[in-house]
Formats: sequence, C-alpha cells, structure tokens
Amino acid sequence: MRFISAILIFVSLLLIAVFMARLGSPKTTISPMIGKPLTEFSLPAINSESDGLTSADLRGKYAILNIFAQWCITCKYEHPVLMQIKEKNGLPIYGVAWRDNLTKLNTWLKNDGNPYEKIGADNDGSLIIKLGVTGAPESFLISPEGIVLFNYKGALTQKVYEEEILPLVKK
Amino acid sequence: MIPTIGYISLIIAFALTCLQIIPKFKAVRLATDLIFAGTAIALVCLITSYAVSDFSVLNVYNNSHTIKPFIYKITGTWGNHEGSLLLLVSIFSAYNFAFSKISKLGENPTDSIIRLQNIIGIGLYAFIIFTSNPFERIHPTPEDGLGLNPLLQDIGLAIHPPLLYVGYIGFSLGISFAAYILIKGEVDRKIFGTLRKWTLFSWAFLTLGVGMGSWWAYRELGWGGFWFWDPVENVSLMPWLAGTALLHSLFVTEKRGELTIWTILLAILTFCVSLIGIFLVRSGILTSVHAFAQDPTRGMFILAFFAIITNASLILFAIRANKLKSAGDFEPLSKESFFLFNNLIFTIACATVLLGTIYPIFLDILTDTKISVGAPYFNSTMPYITLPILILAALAPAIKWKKDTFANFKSDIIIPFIIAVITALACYFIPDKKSAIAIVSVSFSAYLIASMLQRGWQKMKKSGKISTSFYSMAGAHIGVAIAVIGITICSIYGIEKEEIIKLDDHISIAGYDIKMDSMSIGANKNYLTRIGVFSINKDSNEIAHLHPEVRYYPVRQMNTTESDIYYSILSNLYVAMGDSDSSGGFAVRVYYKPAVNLIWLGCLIMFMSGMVGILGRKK
Amino acid sequence: MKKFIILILIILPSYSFALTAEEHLENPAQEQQARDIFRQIRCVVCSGESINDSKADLAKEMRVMIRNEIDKGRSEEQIINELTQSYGIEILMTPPVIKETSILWFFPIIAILLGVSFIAYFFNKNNK
Repeated sequence: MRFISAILIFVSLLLIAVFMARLGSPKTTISPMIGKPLTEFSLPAINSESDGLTSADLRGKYAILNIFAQWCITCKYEHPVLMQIKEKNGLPIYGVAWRDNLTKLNTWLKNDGNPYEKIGADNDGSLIIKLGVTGAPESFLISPEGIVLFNYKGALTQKVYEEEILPLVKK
Repeated sequence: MIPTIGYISLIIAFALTCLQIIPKFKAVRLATDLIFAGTAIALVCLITSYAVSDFSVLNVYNNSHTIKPFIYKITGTWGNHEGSLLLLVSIFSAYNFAFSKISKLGENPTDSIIRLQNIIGIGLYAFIIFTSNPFERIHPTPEDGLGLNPLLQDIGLAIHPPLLYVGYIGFSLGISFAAYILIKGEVDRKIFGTLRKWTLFSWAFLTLGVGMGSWWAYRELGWGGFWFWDPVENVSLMPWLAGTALLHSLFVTEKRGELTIWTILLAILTFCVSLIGIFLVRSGILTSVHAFAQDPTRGMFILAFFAIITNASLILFAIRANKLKSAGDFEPLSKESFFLFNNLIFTIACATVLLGTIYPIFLDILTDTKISVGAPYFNSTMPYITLPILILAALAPAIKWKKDTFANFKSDIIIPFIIAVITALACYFIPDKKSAIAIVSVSFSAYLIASMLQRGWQKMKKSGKISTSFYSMAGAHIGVAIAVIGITICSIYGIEKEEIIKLDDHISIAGYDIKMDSMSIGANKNYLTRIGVFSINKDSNEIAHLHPEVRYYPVRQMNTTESDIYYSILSNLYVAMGDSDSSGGFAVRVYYKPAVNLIWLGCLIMFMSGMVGILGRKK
Repeated sequence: MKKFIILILIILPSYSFALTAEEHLENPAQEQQARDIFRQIRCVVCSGESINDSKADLAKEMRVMIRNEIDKGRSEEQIINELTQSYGIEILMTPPVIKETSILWFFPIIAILLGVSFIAYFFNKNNK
C-alpha cells in the first residue's frame, strides 16, 4: 500500500515539476536549420523594375532573411522595426514575399517604405518549407559563409535585434 | 446592476464555502442550500447579461455579438473560460445540494462529506473570483462585441460542456467519499452502494458528453473524423476510463467487500485525473483547437490546486489505507478476479492516454527534444490494451463469486463463441479490405453482445423476469460493444475520395453516385454562404439531396466548411465542398462512413443504461 | 442585394481554411503515395492534424511541394527526411522509436506485464 502510494505521489510530483517548468518557460521552437547552410535558392522579382533574390545575394556579409507578406497583419507591426534597422545602417535585410498578391505588395512598400535590399517572391511556398517556416513573419540571421545562425518566429523587435541577433555578429 | 448582483452572489457563495470547512460551523445544510442558490443566481445573471448583450461586461464583450442568433448568445455564456468555470461551479454546488437532500447515509456522514466537498469548492470559487472573474466590467461600454467563433455556434457543441461537467465534477463526490472512508477507518459496505449510484450518474453523463463532443467534431471539424486524440478530447476520455474502472470496482466492494483499496484509490485517482484535465485545458500549455486560457497565472493556480488535492489524498491513503484491507480470498477464476483484471486494464488505458498526451511536454523539458504524439500512437496502442475488456465483460456476469470452475460455465460460452466466429468470417470475406484488428474487434464485440443476450434469456427462462440492474449492466455492455463495432468498421472500412468537379459531374463511391447539380449564394444573419446542391443516387434511384456550404463570417474573418451528411440506417455519406479552381471546377471531398451511426447509438445506449441503473435500484 | 453578395464573395479570401482545389498527380499510384505521405506529416500550424486533413494554407503548400517531389522521382524516404531536416522530428505524426521515446512506446506493454505479475503474486500469496 505504502509502496503504491509512494509511486503515485512520486508521479504526481514529477508531473507538477514538469508542468511548473513548462508554465515558467513557454514552448519555444528552436529551428533545426540553425547551424546548417542556407539552402540554395533563386526567387523571381516582385516587379519588373527589380531583380529577384538568390542565396548568393546574401553571401559575404551577415544578413537578415525576413519572411513576410502584406496579408500578414503582424508583419505590419514588424515593418517599422525593419525600417529603423535600415535607417540606422544596421544589418542588411533581404525579404521573401510569401504567397503574396504582388500588386498589393508593391503598393504597400511604395506607400510605407521598403526596408529590404532585395526581395524574392515565393509564390508556392517552396522556399518557406525548405526553411522550416511555420508562419509569417519569421527572420533568420545568415553568416557570411551562408550558415543559418539564428531564427526568430514572430515580429522582430528592437530588443530581439539588439540582444539576440547582433551579439551573434561579433563572433 | 445584474452583473453586480451576480458578482456579489458569487462572493457570498465563496464565503459560505470557506465557513463550511471550519469544524465549529454547524449550519452545513443551510450553507449548502445558500451556496447553491447564490451560485445559481450568479450563473443566471451571466446568462442574462449575454441574452441582453450587455457589453459593459468584459466577458460578454469578448465572446458575443449583437447579430449572433439568440440561442447561441445564451449558450455562448459557457463557450469561454470564465463562463464555463461558472457553469462548472454551478453544477458542483448543485451536486452538493442534491446530495444533502437525497443522502440516506445519516446526518454525520453526509455533513462530513459535504465539508470535504467544500475543500474542493474553496479552490474552485477562489480560482474564479481571483483569476477568472466573469463579471469584470469595461468602461466605456462598447457598441458591439467581438463575436463568437462560428465553429462554436452549434447546438451539439453548446450542450456538450454541461454534459461533460456533470460528468467529471461529479467525480468530486468520489474523492470526498474516499477521504471520509479513509479518515473513519471502517465503514458499512452500504456507503459504497451510495457512491456507486452517484458515480453511475456522473459516468452516464460523461459518456453522453464525450459522445456529443465526438458527434460535433464529426459534423464540424475535419473530414468526418469523430476522434482525433486531440489533448482536449483525451482530457475528457481519461476520467471516463478511470470512472468506468471505479464504477466496476465499487460494485465488487459493495457486494462482497473486496477490492476495497482499489476502489478507494480509483475514487481518488478519477477526480485527480479530472483535475489534470482541467489544468491541461486551461493553462495554455497544450495548444489545441479548443483550448481556453493562455494565462500562466491561471495555470499556476490550477496546478497548485491539483498539487494540494492530489498529494493530500494520496498521503491520507498511504497512512490509512491499511485499515480497509479486504479478505482478498478469491481464486484466479472468480468474478472478483475478472473485476480485478478489469481495473488493471482500465487503469493502464487511462495512464497510456495521460502519458501520450503529456509526453511531448515531458520530453521537451527534460531533454529538449521536440516530438508530436498524435493519433497514430494512440491508435497503435489503445485497441490492443482495451479489446480484452470485451471478453471480460462477456464472461464476468456468468462466473461465480470467490471460486468457480471452467466446467461450470463452459456451456455458456458455446453459442456466443459460434456467433463470434461467424462474425469473424463475415469480417474476413465480405469486405474487400482485410484487417486483422477489425476481425478481432468486431468478433469480440459480437461475443459480448451474444453473451449478454444469452444471459438475459437464461434469466427469463429461470425466473420469468429480469431485474433492472441486469438491464442496466447488459445494456451498458451491449452499448459499448455496439460503439466498438461502429468505431472499428468506420475507421477501417471507410472510403475517402477527393476530386475537382464541375456542375453535372459525378463522383462514385461505395455504390453511390453523387452528382453536383448547382451552386448558389446566400446570406444569413452573421455569415455569407456558398451552397452546393448534390444529388445522391443508388442503383439509379435518386435517394437524397445534400447541401454542403462554405460560409464566411465577417466579424471573425474566417471560413468554415459546413458539410452535409446523408444518413442512412447504418452508414453515412459525407460531402464537403471547398473552393474553386481557375477553370470553374470545385474541390469536393466525399466520405463513405459505414456503421458510423453505431458509435452514437452505443453512447446513447450506455447513457440510458446508466440512468436505468440509478432509477431502478432499491434504496 | 444579390449582386452585392456576389461581389463580396469574389473579393473574399476564399483560400484560407477551405478545402482547396489542388491538382492531383495523374498517375494514381503516385497520387496514392502522395496521400500516404500526407498522412504521415503533421500540419505545423494546426493541432494534431496531418497535412492530409488540414485546411491551412501551409498544409496545402506542403502537399503541392510533396506532389512535385514525387513527380520528380524522389522517394518517400527522401521527401520525409528533407521535411524533418527543416522542421525537426516533431513534424512526424508518429513519434519515431528512438531512445527518447522508449518510455512512450514500451510503457503499455511493460505496465501490463508488471500488473499481471503483481496479480499473479497476489494470488500466489493467498493460496499459501
């Protein structure tokens, strides 16, 4: 009797400990892409005046790859942060427009500002899937050699940029 | 005004609950009545606020809207975290009220059990008042609300929470009885009979609630799937598994004074498992299609509540359980033994569901590995664990208490065995698809049904009448067997077809021919819709028209797919429509679901058998 | 009024959360293989659904991608491997049997064996 009770109490304490740990630190997904080379890709342009985006464009410098779309409301929240990074001459940002309406996208960028060095259109989501993206917006930090160093799911903030992305650049 | 009355009533109920656990406080019955009244008033106030769309109440603002149909405004009261908790605690207070009125245990035992219940009550009321107040106000009063998820505007889904709550909050009586019995140290066996009736009542409603939820999912979510092993579903299944074990164990303890310690432990565990469920659903740690709160403070509160109740009961059990030792002098071949194995299997089944549900969290915290545990895991473990139960259920009624021999009952197994074999052969030869698990599952169920019918016939022959308790037992067993047959046949032999078709095109499936006749557009109070008309033909006879829709709800900015179902006696034809491609074709999915209606029929039979079991018993 | 409704329906986003009209592979064996793979891959933005059943856009994009890969001649193993490279093993509907999931997979059978042993021990004790 005591033996069974002891086991049950142990199990319940174990459960409580695990649950408490989970409540204290909500689930974060560490991208499996970190440490791996960025896949080779070549995306078409979003309008006839610009070039598209290829993986080669990101080589030779630390760069942010940002997945976004104009249909994504959170991306609109993120937009000013990206503009600020560009204005303060921070890391170059390259955009991947995910399954977007290109007319509306171009209009939005023209009206609200374009924080991207280059933008590629991923109309069928094939690059997104290779990158393990689960939603927009998402951002990756890519090393000059083309290795994925960091992944952030959700709208980038000044805080995440300064405290989590920039420190990796010094290395 | 009304929300304020509601809030104050709730506070009064809470205060009285706190008083109940003070030994010096004597007015237990009066307090129970007042707590029930106060909680009921609070619930009515909240429902009224929804009915009149009082958006000054934050809860109403968040979850309702003026254009929602009236009935869904009312049921929307419990379609959210705070409102559903208020419903939960109302049902809890109703149980205590009913118990205080009906109980024939005597004044002291009844009072003691009510006091123990109120320990649980303090946790529930405190949780509501301090972290989930449904009567919180907002200023200024908004013009309109944020609407309700259209998926929840369904009558099946509206009824399902109340049914579930009557189920698993009712198991609180189990743990209070257990605590009382442990403290007292020795009791008259009759108390187990009383608990059995209360447990049977809760169990019956939980069965119906689970069935109702499954039926809703079948019609509204996914593609005619009725069970997804989603965490929230698992959370309602675990108390059901533990509760079924408890129910059976109580029977043995009441009749023979055996398995007493199992019974007490199961009573404790059933409620604890209900609490784990409440925690998992409301803490936000498991993302799910229908999880409520995302607030860690709430999670911490429920976790603390669970920690206290579970560990206190288990410690009490550890210290006092040896006072309740039963003789344990039954043979391996005896009715008690079969119940013992039954307890074991149901407990392991419950533990497996719990393990599968929390394993991803467990693994993530301990090893930083992220995995998903879903339907494939449960479908490859649960059937093997639970199928033997069907045979136990078939044999147990005929086996004697304490000691029996194979010779005694071997003549009983012949006819059901033959029927089982015939069923197995039918299962092998009739369908195109051969499935070993289906053959085993269906033949076991057939064996159970045949055994129950045979036993009923034997009793009729012997004494000319059948007791209500037999109807209840046999009915429930037949019900579960029918449900298992439905689940098996539908899962294994179902057919799915998806095509892109234009008007006047056909899809054929399982002997049915489905033609898309027309497409039209309409609008209802809170949604826009595209309706397809499909005619169903079988053997060149037109037998039905189906009208699946795709609806758009502007306030929530979401689409839902409203499938339409052709119900024939046993099987269903399920048609769901999607959007169009560039050449004017529409995506259409058709499912042939054989025997799926047996699932709901089985649940209904189990529920009715449970009710018969309560009403028919002599006091 | 009707014209207004039609206009609305045309403008409305019809692609999110609806059954989508996708091109199936022409070869039925290949399409069947695609379906088999869909049932093994979890929809990462839903809860518990496979991409076969999910109505989410990302699920659709994965289905389209997988069909393309099959068309190009990639094997089931290669396709699934690549997805786990991108998303981790949590994208699999069935957890793999690795040492971290050994408790999960072996618990039921071990529990039953232990339980039956306990009961056998109990009966043995009584018969003495």
